[in-house]
Amino acid sequence: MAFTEHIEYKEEILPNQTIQVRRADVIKKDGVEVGRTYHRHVVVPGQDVSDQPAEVQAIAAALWTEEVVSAYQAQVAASALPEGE
Amino acid sequence: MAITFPASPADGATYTNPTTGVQYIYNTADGVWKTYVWPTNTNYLQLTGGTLTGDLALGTNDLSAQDITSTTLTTTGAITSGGNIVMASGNGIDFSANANAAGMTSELLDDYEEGNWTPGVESGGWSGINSNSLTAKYVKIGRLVHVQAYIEGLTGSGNGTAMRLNGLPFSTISLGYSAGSVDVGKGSVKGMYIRTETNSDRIGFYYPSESSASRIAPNGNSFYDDGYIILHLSYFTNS
Repeated sequence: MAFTEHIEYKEEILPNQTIQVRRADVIKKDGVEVGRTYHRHVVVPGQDVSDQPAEVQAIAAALWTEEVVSAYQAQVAASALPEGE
Repeated sequence: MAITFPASPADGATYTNPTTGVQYIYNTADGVWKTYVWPTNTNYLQLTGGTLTGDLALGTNDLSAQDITSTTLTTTGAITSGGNIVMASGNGIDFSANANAAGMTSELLDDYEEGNWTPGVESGGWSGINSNSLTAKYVKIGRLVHVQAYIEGLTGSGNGTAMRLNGLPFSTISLGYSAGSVDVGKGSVKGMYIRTETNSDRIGFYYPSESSASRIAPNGNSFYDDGYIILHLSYFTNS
């Protein structure tokens, strides 16, 4: 009887190039999956991704041009609530 | 067991399997033997391999199978499954047969997921949260996300900037502001509420003010490192 554990990442790219990351911790017993848990987080254009998995860093490097980051920041600013409300 | 049909059959030639009793007829146009008489002493047909390209009509008996591949499977009765029902990505349960509200945008339940998330400190000075006893769960049903978190204290120290968290499991939608409840065990202000920010994974803390028309965001230094934070909110995401 041998238990193994490995991590699988799944990335979802939103229209504004935000990356949603799902990490699956998969446990197998004798090669058969017996358990799986999910953990999620979000990285937005322009965010520091140095602590992210390599594949997330690669996606961010490919997608997040200056134009994309600027467009995201403009989108956030345009939909921000008025100050003090 | 492979069936050995007669060679070079004429159109309409018949053959009876000596083992199963199933009778076949040869169709020249299609170039295949087709089953046309089932044994009368059996209650079900057992298919082992092969592909049924036409319809399979069942009577009142149950259909028991390991795998069924079909473009459309229609039943007028209930579906009972001893295993999971696995949906292809983007597919789900279609409720379009039901009446809908005027503002309806979708009647397809195409996603369910539950898991964990890790709140972080966006602003307020604190370096992070105490991961001991952290419980932060999410459930996503369609595009609606429910999150809960029990944070057992903060690490570092707070400063005079507004206290905000991040780390929501899914990005909020544009203008999809949503308010939720929060309980702070020590310090800060009792009776606060929390609110998502636009297009992000962030949460802000606020409380009402009797002397001002606007709400107030508590600063990070009003929180204690050994005070718990319990929060819950629901919001929409685009994925």
